Amino acid sequence: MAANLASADGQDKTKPSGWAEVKRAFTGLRRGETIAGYLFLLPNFAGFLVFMLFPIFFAFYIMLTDWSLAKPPEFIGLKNFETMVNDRLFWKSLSNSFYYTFIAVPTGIFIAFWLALALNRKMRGIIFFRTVYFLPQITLTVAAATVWRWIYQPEIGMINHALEWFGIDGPKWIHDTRWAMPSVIIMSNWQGIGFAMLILLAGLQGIPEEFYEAAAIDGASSWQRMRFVTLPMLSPAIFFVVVTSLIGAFQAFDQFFVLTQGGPADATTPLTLYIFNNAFKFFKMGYGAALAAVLFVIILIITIIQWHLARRWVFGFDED
Amino acid sequence: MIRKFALLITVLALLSFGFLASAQDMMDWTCGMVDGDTAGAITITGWEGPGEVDKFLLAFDEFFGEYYPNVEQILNTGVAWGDYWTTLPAQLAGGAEIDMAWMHDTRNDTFAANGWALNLDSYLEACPIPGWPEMFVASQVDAFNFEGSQYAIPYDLAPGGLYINLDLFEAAGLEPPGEHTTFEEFTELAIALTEDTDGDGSNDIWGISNLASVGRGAGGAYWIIKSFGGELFNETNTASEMNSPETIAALQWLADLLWDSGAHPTADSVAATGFTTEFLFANGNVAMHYALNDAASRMWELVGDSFNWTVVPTPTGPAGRYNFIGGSAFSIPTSAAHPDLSYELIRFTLANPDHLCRTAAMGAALVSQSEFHDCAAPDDAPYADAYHEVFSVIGARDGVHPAYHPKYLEWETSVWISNMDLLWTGEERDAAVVVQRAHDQTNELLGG
Amino acid sequence: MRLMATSDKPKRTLIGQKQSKLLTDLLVYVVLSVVGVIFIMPFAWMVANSFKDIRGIYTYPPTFIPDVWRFENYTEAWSMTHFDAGFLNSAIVAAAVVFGQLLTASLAGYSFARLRYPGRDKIFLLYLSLMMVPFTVLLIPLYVQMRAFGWISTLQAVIVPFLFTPWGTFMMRQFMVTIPRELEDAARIDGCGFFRTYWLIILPLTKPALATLAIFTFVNTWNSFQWPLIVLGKPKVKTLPLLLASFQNQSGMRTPWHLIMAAATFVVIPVLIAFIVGQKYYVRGIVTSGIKGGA
Repeated sequence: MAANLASADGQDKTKPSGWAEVKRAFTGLRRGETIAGYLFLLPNFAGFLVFMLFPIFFAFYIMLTDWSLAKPPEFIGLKNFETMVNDRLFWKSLSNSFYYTFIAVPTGIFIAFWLALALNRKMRGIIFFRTVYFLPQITLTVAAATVWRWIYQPEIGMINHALEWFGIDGPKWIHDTRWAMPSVIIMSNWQGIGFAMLILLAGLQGIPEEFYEAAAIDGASSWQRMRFVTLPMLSPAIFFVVVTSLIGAFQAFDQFFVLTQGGPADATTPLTLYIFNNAFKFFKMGYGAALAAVLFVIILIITIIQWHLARRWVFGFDED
Repeated sequence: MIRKFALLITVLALLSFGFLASAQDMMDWTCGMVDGDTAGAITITGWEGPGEVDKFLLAFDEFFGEYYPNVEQILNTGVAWGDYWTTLPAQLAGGAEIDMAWMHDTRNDTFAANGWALNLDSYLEACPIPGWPEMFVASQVDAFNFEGSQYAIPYDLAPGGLYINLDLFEAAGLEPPGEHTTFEEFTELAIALTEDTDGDGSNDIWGISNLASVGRGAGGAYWIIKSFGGELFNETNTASEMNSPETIAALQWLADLLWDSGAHPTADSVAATGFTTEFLFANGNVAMHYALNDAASRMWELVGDSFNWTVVPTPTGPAGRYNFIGGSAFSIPTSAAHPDLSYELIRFTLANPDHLCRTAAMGAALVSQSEFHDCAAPDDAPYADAYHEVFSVIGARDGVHPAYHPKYLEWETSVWISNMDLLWTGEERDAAVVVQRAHDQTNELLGG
Repeated sequence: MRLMATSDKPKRTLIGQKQSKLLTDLLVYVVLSVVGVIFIMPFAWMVANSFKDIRGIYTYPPTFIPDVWRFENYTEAWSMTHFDAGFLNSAIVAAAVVFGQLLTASLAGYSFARLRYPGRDKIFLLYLSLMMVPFTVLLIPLYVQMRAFGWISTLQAVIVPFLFTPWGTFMMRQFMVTIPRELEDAARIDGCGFFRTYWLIILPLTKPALATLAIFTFVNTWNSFQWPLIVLGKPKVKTLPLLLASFQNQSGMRTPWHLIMAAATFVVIPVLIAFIVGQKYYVRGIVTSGIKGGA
């Protein structure tokens, strides 16, 4: 399995087994495939090395420093991480990030999935509907935020107006520390669902018609077609959406910035906003980078866990 | 009109007098620190956009047109407020050569302490700005002074005042407040003017608006705290003085306007559209609206003939009369490639009497208060006299703002807003509770 | 692969199927329309505001339909700043980034999805981890680098660093793993090299994914704001979002919102067109008939 192979990036070259593997790959029958594999990666990898390597190493260095941006960074070791332990706003923003991610991502993907299925139908005017669900992506952010503030307005706003019909006294939404986060989640799902939908739609389009025809000949019910054709064939796309949505949710920033600016009383300050404030408002770039490192590690761990779980359910994962 | 004509004549005269005349002029309006043949580019960055920045751009064009024709201006104005304070630090930290940058009083000490803003003392000595500092509003000179040195030259002042819907007062048979109105009288007025006109159980005319809102910084409440005799920090900004009974009383007074008497719309009432908080006043839903002087010209546009309005000073508290004052300035980053030229440009823009009046439009420009009040509000504006009295005389005289120490921004975000928001959302109605928490967190931040 | 399960359920008649499809279609239409209203509303509101005068925008409570229709908002907004140059800059940047990403991402995606070589999955995870570094901490070092290259205030600064995309590579990989291997093997037997297989077999089969990536990249690049704001100082290189933002004034004072809404509307039109054109590629795999034996 590929995961057991030594990495070719130089660090593991001293390991005899890995090195032997690499040597075999370059000399054996698969020599052509190995060379082609690396060559295909080259344009992307070279670009990454030139444009990302320095910034990332730099960021990893400054997390060990006290840097006010203006004066040269001063090396302080792991002190930034010690500061974090007693930083009330760090813990608050960390829990906000988790709250946001673990509610927004599952609900978003669930809705996007059904939306993609509906928009995958061969119907008249389907392109119109696809465009409608994509519109939030391209609406001027400030216009969108303005409308949402209007929607959330407790007295004349649309949601509470609608709730009133059912005799429900709606909450104060973005002006209540308990409801502010759900408000942001609703708006950001509204805005982000278009892309998840589009990717799943592309995945659905990639499923060969023959599979469904074969299933129909075998008399499969629509549930069985979903279970045994659609879901397995869509699983790589779903996996992609799950992984990137989780990464995206932990990095979400704009929706908080435009709708609530992190308030009221920090109820909607995610770690990203706290990093931003430290870096550019409090001029504590070293601390900001240390917070960013924590965020990075969290996302990495979650992604690696998904990676291992993926072997159980994602099509085409361990075919080597 | 006459002024424009005079300007035109001046320019024409200068052109016809030719080289000699402009050389003479150069002696007057530059200090000759930079050679007139200098070529190159000067980079200027600021947050103000079309409508507000134009008057400065005119001065810049005149300056370079007359004295440094070979210098190209690279203008980066109209960078939205929030973005400006990310972009500028990122560029400066990345080593960008920026020659002149808009500066705000809230940021001055941070930039100065961090070594980003150039200390202008030696310039002010070698090439003094006419009228400096005695003709400038003292509080604004002071706002850009850090540890005894000047780091930016103020170009405007923004005092707070009350915008009054005269029609609502007339209908209620009440007189608008004045400079000597006490907070008690003011509260009574606000309550008396508050109304539920359609009888649906929630107010739709409010006595007073825009004194408090979710996410707002401390500047908006500081003048009230001062009026009640309270403080935020000690003299050296090393400890909190927030837990005094006076500070608590001031904040309780504010909270009660929202949650007890309902004379002030709550945050959620103003949130109907996200553009601005002023639409409530412009739509005639508010009798008294708290705002800075720069709201005046827009109110004029927005209100039109819908109702009569004017401006009055904010009330007097038990500890005296104070109003908020803020302001902006021109600074020179330490990374500037042409600091001498920038200084000459700032000096020319803010002190050349030929265009002082134009620069003072909308309440900007500080040199010679007696000059600028005549121009700050348009001559034909009905509120011009009141504007002069409320902002240029009383507002400039009684102006206060919180001490913008280098940790101020962090304190404002992570202590002030973090706690006070609960008062403005109504989740906590006892000011003493939030103040005590803020007090402890302030000490932790300033002491640590 | 478990593809099919046998079912003892009897086949439905053709007529029954048609009726049920019609019924489902109707239901789908209704649901899509109702939910769609929420999705279209803010956009419609933006367009509606682009026809109001400034006082119409501040009306309380807010209204949808303008009292006074001001079509000249569009001409006024257009002439307020250098939108012609802005459109050109944005178009150059978006086109370059879209084509660059499609190329680099599909090449790397093919390599990760199909070719076997040592370290492949580790390199891939390393790649993916690039997406996880918050951009906030990369801003300054990247700016330092752009200065070292002499790229400040040039379009290269907003194009070249963004030609390489872990996100797009990941996406390409995920779509390419679903392509039946038999197709590729057939091509290889016919003597196609790896590049020809990629170009002639894989790429045409990945059209919906390529279209998705193109749309995604186009929208993101077209709307990109923070980084261009920092690196594009000179007016002549500014992209549309920067021009749009420069209408706004500090604390919203005197901001011509009606003109901003008009500008925002015409700025969005190319994206809308790109999206609708992209739909053309959302068609089922063209060569599907070749894989029957393989399935």
